[in-house]
Amino acid sequence: MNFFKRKAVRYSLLALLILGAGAAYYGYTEYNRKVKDIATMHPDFTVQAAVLLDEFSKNDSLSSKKYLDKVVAITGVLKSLDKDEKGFFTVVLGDPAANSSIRCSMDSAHNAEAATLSNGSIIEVKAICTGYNADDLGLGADVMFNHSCIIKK
Amino acid sequence: MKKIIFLFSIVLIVANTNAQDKYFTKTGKISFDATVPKSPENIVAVNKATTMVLDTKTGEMQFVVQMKGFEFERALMQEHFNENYVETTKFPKAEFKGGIQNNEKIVYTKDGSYATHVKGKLTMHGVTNDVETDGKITVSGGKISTSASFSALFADYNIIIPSVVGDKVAKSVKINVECALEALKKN
Repeated sequence: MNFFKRKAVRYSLLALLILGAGAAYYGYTEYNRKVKDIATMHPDFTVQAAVLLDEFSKNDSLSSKKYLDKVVAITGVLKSLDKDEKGFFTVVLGDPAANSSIRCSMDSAHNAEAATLSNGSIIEVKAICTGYNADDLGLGADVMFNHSCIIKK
Repeated sequence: MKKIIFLFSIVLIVANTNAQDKYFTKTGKISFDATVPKSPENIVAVNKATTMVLDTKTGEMQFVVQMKGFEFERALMQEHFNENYVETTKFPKAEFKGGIQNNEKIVYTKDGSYATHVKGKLTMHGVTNDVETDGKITVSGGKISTSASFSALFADYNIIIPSVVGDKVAKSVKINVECALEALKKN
């Protein structure tokens, strides 16, 4: 009987040890998990820039529910390429004659992909939707994205 | 006829002057640091898509930042920030409205570095508080850039940090704002 008891205790301890090691490993990898590379992520939506702008201008709360935090592949005309003082690019898509735009901040790992883009060309960008700025400041409305990469030039 | 042309010219000059008073950016940087002193864990994030407008005539300034646009090095921190602490789906934007208190001392047409005192209201997580801080405006070759930093208590904005990570996240967050502005051209 004692033999079986000792065996049961041993197996229980072993099981606890394995569980503890598993939990520690999970905790460590989860804590150190990096933000996924956008290039490897499958888009939740594939949409034309004009359609996306139209959706937000008609109903921004409904569109926010649909697109926020989602990976979106957007095709549109490159309206401008903004480069900040530290060399980070923002790809601006939309009708060059209109005030509203889709603004995609490049992911730092993919920033160089934007360097060779030329205004007026049709490109496809994959990015994560972060929000919508209505035209409250008189600067035009913008649908905002970050972690962007260029799919097609 | 000459009088009409003269008056039209005056109107155009005035309109152009007003347009030149306003400067803006849509690529302003806001970063924050909530690292506990001496802690090895850096709790920092940056948002590179801040919209800011400055009226150089009155000193009024306003910025809007989408909270989901803050980028962290670690995915887990970003998820906790968005889902648990700042609740960015419920409160998507932070906004500052205020003004430069010593605007008359800044010569926006002359290169130099000018100390500023900024006062206004910051709305974050659905709570609005008065904010007051010192900053700097730099004018160089016709370009204007602004920088300021200030601290805010999470508790003042009803942002609750769970006690389980209480020793890893500072109670007060240091916020830095840096914006390189360009003249707002009226269409």
